[in-house]
Amino acid sequence: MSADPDEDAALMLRVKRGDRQAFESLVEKYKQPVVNLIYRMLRDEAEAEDLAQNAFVQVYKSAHRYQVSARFSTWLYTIARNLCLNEIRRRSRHPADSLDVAHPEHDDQPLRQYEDAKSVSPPDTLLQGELEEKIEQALAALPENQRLAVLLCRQDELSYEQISAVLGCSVSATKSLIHRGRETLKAKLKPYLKSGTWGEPPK
Amino acid sequence: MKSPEQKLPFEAAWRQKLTPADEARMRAFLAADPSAQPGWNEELGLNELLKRLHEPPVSSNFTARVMAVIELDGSAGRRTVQHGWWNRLRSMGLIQRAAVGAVVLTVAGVSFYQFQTYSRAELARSVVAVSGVATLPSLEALENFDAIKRLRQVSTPIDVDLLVALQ
Repeated sequence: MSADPDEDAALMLRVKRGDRQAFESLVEKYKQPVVNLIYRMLRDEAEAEDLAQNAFVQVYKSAHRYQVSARFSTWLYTIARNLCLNEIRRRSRHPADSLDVAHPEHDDQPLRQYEDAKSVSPPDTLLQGELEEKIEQALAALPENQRLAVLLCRQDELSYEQISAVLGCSVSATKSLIHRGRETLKAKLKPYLKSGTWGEPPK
Repeated sequence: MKSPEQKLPFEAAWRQKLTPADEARMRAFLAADPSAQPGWNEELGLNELLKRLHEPPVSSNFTARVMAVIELDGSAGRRTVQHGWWNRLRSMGLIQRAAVGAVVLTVAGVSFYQFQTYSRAELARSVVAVSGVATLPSLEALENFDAIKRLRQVSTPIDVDLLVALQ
């Protein structure tokens, strides 16, 4: 996704004048990256979509405050970041639901069901799945600010200044977060790193 | 610990796409310091691993649901305006209601204080007006007042003869 700041600014100015179609265009453009970011922070697909929707609704409600000097993507990711942090704090106060809780409508089924990849996947898919799981786990184990910094750095359209604006810290602190996050990931995933391509998992 | 010069090319690896300038700088750096090659390869390797993270699917009706919420909030806002302040107050959270209550009490308190201040000022002005009147006579004079009053109440006819004589 290439982000043309002028195009985004033009759309937001139309939104400011009440043009809902312009806002739909912005939602279509940014829904995937926002959902990606929130999903990586929360590791919950359903919750990621809900929070992403909340982020866009908040942007719309705050459209009257939009200034052209502010980059739309920076503003959007800042709202998404705040929603993620609020949800993470809420979860830390309220422990997760038990896996044994029955579904409210179907007593014979658990509330949450997880696909058993081992039972149906071919070996290559299994390896892919295991590797992806390792990467997910390594990423999830990072402190929130490092995880967010590493994920935002993958959004090529964001400069380091914009990433630092989302994180609420200086550019040097942002680069430090990215560096520390990546060093931790490299250490945890070292067995899978091989000259820029992934190798077979250790036996 | 890498020096700033050593970190620069590695920073370039953090982004998904290297610019031509970054690539040129990286090649020059590695040519000057081949020992940095393994570190650079690790950075590229991590990028490859991060690319393998799957993107969660976004519902096909995601945008429609966002716009539906916006529409619903807009309708709720219009109904609130039509039904006045009471429904707006009811829709507020506890903290917001407490804040509104505090503002109302503060305004009421300030208004009452100002009313009292004004009333006192008015009272003081009337006291000042009254105090401008000539001071009251002494007690002895007041005691004789009754006698004087009785004397003045006696109606005596005019003594014409006395008047002529005096003239």
